[in-house]
Amino acid sequence: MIGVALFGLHRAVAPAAVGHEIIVPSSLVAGLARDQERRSGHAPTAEERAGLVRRWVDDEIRYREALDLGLDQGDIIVRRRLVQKMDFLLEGSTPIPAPTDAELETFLAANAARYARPDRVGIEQVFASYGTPGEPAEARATGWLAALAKGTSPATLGDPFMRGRTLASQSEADLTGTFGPEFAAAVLALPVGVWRGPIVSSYGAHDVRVTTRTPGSVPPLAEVRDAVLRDWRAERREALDRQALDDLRKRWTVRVEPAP
Amino acid sequence: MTMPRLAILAILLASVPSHAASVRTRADAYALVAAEAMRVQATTVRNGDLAVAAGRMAVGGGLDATGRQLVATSVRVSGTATCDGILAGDVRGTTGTCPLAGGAPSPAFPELPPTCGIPAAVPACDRARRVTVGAGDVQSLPPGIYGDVVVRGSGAVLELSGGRYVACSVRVLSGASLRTFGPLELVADTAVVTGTIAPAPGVALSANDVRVLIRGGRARIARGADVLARVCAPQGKLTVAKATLRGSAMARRITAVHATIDAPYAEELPTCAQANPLRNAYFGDLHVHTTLSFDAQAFDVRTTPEQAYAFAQGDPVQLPPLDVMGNGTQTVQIDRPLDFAAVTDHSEFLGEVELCVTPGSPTYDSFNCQEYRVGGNYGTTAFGVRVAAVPPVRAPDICGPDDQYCHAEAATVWDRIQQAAENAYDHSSDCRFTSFVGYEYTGSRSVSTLHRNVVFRNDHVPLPTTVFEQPTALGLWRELANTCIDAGVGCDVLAIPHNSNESNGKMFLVEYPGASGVDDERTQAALRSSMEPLFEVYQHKGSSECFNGLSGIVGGTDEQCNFEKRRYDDPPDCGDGVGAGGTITLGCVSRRDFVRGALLEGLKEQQRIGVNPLRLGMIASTDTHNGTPGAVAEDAWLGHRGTDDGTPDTRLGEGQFYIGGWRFSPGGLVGVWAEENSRPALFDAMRRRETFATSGPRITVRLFAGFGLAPSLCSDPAMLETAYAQGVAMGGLLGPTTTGGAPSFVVSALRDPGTVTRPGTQLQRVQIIKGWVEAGVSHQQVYDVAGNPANGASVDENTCAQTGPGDDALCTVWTDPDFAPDQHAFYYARVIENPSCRWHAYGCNALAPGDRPAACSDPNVPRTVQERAWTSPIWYEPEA
Repeated sequence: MIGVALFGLHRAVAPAAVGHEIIVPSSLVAGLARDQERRSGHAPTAEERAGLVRRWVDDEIRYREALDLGLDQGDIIVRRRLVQKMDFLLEGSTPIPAPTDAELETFLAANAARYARPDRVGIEQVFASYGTPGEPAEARATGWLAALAKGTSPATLGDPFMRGRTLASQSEADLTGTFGPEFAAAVLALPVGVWRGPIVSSYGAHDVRVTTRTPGSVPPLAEVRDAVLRDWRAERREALDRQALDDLRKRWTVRVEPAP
Repeated sequence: MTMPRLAILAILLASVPSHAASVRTRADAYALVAAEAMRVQATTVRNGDLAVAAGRMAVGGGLDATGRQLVATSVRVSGTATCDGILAGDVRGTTGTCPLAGGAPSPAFPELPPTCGIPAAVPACDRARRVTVGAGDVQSLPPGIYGDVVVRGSGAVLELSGGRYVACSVRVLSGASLRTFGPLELVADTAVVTGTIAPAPGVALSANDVRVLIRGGRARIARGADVLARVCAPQGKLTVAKATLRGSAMARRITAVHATIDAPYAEELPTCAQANPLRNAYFGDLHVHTTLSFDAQAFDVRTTPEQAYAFAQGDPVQLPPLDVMGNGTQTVQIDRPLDFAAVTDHSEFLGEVELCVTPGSPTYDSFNCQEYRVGGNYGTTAFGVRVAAVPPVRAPDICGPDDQYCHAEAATVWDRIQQAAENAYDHSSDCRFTSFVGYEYTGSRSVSTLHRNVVFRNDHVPLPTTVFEQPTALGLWRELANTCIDAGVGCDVLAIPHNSNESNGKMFLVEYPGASGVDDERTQAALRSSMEPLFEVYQHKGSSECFNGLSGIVGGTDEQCNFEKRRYDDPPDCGDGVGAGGTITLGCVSRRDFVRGALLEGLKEQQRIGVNPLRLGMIASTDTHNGTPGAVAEDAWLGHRGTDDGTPDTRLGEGQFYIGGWRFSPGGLVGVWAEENSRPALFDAMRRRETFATSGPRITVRLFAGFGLAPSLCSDPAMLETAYAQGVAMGGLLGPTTTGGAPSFVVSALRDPGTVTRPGTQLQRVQIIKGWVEAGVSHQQVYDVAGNPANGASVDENTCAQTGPGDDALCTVWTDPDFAPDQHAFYYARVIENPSCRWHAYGCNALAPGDRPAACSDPNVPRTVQERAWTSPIWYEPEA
């Protein structure tokens, strides 16, 4: 039924097929032969080549007739493919130029938080566990301060802390992950080189000495160039794609019909 | 006056090749490192640089170090030499083939580690325990303290189990060999090797896993020796002459003559500022799916690998349902970044998914692509049945002739996965985040879960293996050995099995396909144990630790086995057999479906053939299919796999696709004890199994075992130094003692320290689980060793408020009261929190009573949970 209907439609809209021409480029014939060779394992004979061309031409005739009939319209697969081709075209039409260092510097400054390095401290600590019976942990920790100030080795004092007595290069997040939220801010505020305490953690009381302090900073471009370039490109790409679509939109007026 | 000088300097600097102008600071980048002096002559260096920290390097004729750097205070070259460049303050005799590349700081190499990663206070050797292996003899030796060890004569073989061996001297002479079955620390005062040091047949290990520490003055590797190891003699003089070192050497003075040296490939990385020889705890997730996995994609997950790695570091991710623009509409974010993660998408269908979701692909319109694009359960099953088929089969209409489209697309996707991992890896000395390249191998024979996550050490990786090429686990291990560890391409890898709780007895079935005798069986067992050092004991689809009521294991009921079960029905017992359908909670359940049973099977094999194929350490992960690594908070769980469980109804009820819903959970985390947060340090730790699993909270736990550990260790501020030196850490092997007595275990646990908004739950107790095999019968015993199981702590199911006492830290030294010195055994620790609300209770409580699904009031659905951590076991090995 559909076939008959289409045929009728064709008769109604298509002029007699006079003067239509299909040109088969030699490069296309070579491509068909190559594909066939990959499938069959041998180069096609002259007869097979002629068959390949005949089949391609038959497809092409039907394809063109279908276009004449407007069969591409309203077909979601054709629509989706053309949309995708347009995307490729738009992307290709606006290549991203290589950024200058100045552009990257500007980008780095505008997104400094993304690349910033936090303050870091190295610490030594002596631990009084809440779990040790007897004197309260805070009192024990306070009691060791005098000895520590006189140079007693921290390795000889306190309870073992199984995540380490000496911890290097700790950010606030690192300290929070090891000692809990109360501890980190207090330790980051300590001066370098002196024993202070007790500082309370999730596990007990600690005497702490900050041994090193590296202030946080936004690294120079040279140190984060790869990441900045990657992020800059991604942002440019998105902006250009958006711009390209915006430009196209300007060429169209859109009228959404109200619901009947 | 200054201007011309500066101009000249600029010209001089410009002529220095910039690619070779910096000194690598990490020891693992070097083939040979001497503290004071080095002489090399007629030597080939295939990989790794050469350095003298502070002193002279004398290069005689015939050095072929193509592409490598020479670094020293001063370098003298006489004769022909090939290298990439010399970095030194004072150079004489350079040639065009080994040019000056720039100056070097002094000391040139700042990081000569004094003990090469082995604790400084390892006990002395024991002269009384001499070991001699003669021609034609094969002897096995458990780890321990020995005297002079001599292996000499043609065919003499000394087999080591792995772990730490201390000897007065080691001599492995021509025709003799020393073979290890696992990661090895060999400590000796002196060594002479003219024979072979290498992994045992079947064992796939690299030189990174074989560490030889010479404590005394001299070591010689000579006269045809073939050594696979990283050798270190910080106080001594090391000679490599007419020998092959597949590894590296570090010593006070080094002479290499007529030698071939091939150091393991190491990625360029600065030393991490946090490096700590006593090891830090790092938390991660090694089981993460993104939109590239066929099932995640079918359930509308659009999270990319890049976004998954960003999520692990604290960025938000958008989850389905998708809006009209294709963007997720629910936001999820973790409040504590992870230290590391691996994106592990299903290797099967990486190409198919790309072909089917990309309009315009050559097979976009194929029937099977259209079926897949239906999505949801339907789309997932359309592909899923293909991996469960026997044999597994691809869809020809998607993959094209010879599967060429699928292979080509998979290779492209694999490149993107690698690139995402590379971009996420912090290459600075902050070492804030480590990514691993990986994938999931989805073995699913007859709908039993036989999955493995494959995790690579570095960026040298082969194409992913799928069940279509290798339908069996043995095939996977062989392919990984052939294309990675043994391929000489700098690749290293391990495979992590998971969800054996859905395997119907198959995952840890000990079988040796095609083996023609015990030697073949030993080779296969060795391959398995080296390729699979870890097991994922807990994740989204429940715990695989243990299961009460199954045959084949003697011991009381362990009520903690009821934690996060996969099967709440009363499944049939597989006994010694196997079943089918476990992935969809059908078929029988076996004692071997749980790691405790698997560890016991391993001990049986150890007794039968002398090799333990199932020496499994513990990790946990999420198995998220939302690309949300580390999203384990019970009070904020938004589901596991896109639209499959993206609403409270689908999560809290019976579940859609297979029996899941309320039975599932957010999954857990892996903890690793490593010197620093870098790929090499974390990977080394995973190989030696110094890992633990948690059900989500950041509980930390250490376990050490030894003979004669002081009962007072828990109050010794130097506990860690002592325990590392005198004991073995979790994952390790404990050899027998000559002094009698039972081994002691120090276990130390800290509760999750919490955050401002989630304060963390206190601990209730620590248990040690022991397993052993007696007269062919498997036994288990659970010991409460610290804390108080009857502390009375509880949680209100409606408000989730916790009450009652608990502990912030628990530590104890426990001695096995039932120790039998001639019996193989394993011990692992389990740390249990006080009760807290399960995610399901949080989810139900958040709904108005009228909106709650039936499961919210079903008394069989657990509403509370005792979160926990599991350590890797320590194995006790008696005399062979």
